[in-house]
Amino acid sequence: MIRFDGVSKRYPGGHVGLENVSFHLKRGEIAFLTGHSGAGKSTLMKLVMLLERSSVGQVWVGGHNLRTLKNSRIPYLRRNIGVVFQDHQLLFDRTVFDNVALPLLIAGYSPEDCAGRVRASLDMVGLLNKEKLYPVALSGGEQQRVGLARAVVNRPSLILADEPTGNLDPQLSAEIMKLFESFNQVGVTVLIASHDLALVARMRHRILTLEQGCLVSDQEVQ
Amino acid sequence: MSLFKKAEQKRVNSREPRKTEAPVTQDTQRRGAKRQQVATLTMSTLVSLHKQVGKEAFLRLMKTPVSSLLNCLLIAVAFALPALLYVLVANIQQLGSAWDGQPRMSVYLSQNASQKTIDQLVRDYRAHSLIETVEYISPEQGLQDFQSKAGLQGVISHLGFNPLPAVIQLTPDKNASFQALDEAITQFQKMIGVEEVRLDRQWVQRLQAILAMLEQFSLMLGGILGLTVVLVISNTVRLNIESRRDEIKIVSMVGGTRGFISMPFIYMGLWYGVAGALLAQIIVLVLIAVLGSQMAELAGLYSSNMSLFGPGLDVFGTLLLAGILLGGIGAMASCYRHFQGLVPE
Repeated sequence: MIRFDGVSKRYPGGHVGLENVSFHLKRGEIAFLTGHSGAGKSTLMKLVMLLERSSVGQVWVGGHNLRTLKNSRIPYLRRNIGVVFQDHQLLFDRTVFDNVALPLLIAGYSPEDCAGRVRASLDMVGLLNKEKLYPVALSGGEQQRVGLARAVVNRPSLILADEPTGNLDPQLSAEIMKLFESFNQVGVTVLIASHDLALVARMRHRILTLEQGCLVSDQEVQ
Repeated sequence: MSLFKKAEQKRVNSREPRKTEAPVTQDTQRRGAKRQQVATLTMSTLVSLHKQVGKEAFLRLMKTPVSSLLNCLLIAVAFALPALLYVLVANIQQLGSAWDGQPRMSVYLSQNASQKTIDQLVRDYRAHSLIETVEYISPEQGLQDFQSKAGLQGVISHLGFNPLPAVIQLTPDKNASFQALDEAITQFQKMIGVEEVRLDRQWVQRLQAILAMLEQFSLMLGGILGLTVVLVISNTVRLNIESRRDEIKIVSMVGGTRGFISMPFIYMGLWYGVAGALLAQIIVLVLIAVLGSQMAELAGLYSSNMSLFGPGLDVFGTLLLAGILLGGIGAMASCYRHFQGLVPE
């Protein structure tokens, strides 16, 4: 699903984001990406979503070589990737329902088709009764779950999560992680960046560790 | 109870089918992915999307009514100036053509022209392709006309002789060009027995030339102010893009194309253009009404019933079209410039 082949990312000014990173995340796999802040976790995520392009090396996502993917095709790549952010990135002037419906709206679903899918998605994260609320009325954990519902509503084959539990207490974090596992169980590939080493260790999944832009360890499932 | 279990419980209760019931194999997953890509925009979906985005853009403008109105006024003034000039020019043009529908040509004959020469001239004019009617007015007849019209019998009878020359009145072909008439005049001027030839509509034609120039000027003014409208709208849209950067980023991140992301901003530009055109039409209507009432007063003093006509459907249509066009262009230009680095091209 995701393959990095000797990928480096250098920013103008000499800052190194990633240095010669190679790994392969197979379809249906779940893995954690850890490392201190600034180790390159976010850079790696950005390369997968084509928010940025690699300086050296090849990135493959879902069988597409991102180096040769045209700019005009980027939106269609992203529709196949569900993303979850630490700061939720919700639209605060729209209801929970509208936030979750956004990817469907973009993909051209009719409003009737949207409603069913949005509710199914909200149901999955346990927020069906809050669809009419605005994000400000929700707690941090609930906002994160709305983000999660939005990420999966279009049934992507890949979910990327950048510090999805960053601001949550341990219990909420564990619940969010369980949701990711449940998506993985139905065949979705999941890559979660997190610096919460204890939580990551408890989950017993593949762990990729970055340090100063280099991939220093790739622990398979114990 | 964990969140997930809660959700599971609810699903059972509501009997809603689970999104993906059985563990999904790679194959079905892939098919699912394919279906997403094929989820094409049908016509009705597209229409309802446009309706919704258009409505949202309108409501967004209504959220800040004062600043929106000020922007619209700015655009309206830029539209109203050339439109007003155009309507005024059209009015004067109308008056000019109402005063004298057909040009007339007066050929003044020299005092010593013999009757034979005069007859020859009349025959020549009758044969001329540009001339429609020919009327000979002898000095005596001219004197009679003059006395009956102006009530100045006394003045001329005191002179003791008739100072009026013989005149041949010509009516040229209505469709004859100004240039052709000019040529005919120089030709007539050279004929024996002719003292002078005058086209009595020359001044109207001069006025019309001036008006044509003014009309050109109003178009040029329209062009320059149209550019102003584009700049005003693109700047307003730019501010809106700035304030919605986060939203743009999010929509882009979940797969919104450039076109999808631009849509609300383009609708905003269109609304501004349309509202500006409407306001401009109202401004011109009001100004013409005020001017018209003053002119009616003036015309009343001269016991004439001249009146101004306001901007018609043609002006309104042009304004509306210009509003839509310039609003769209302004918004698109702004999107093109300010999406840089936010949205993949």
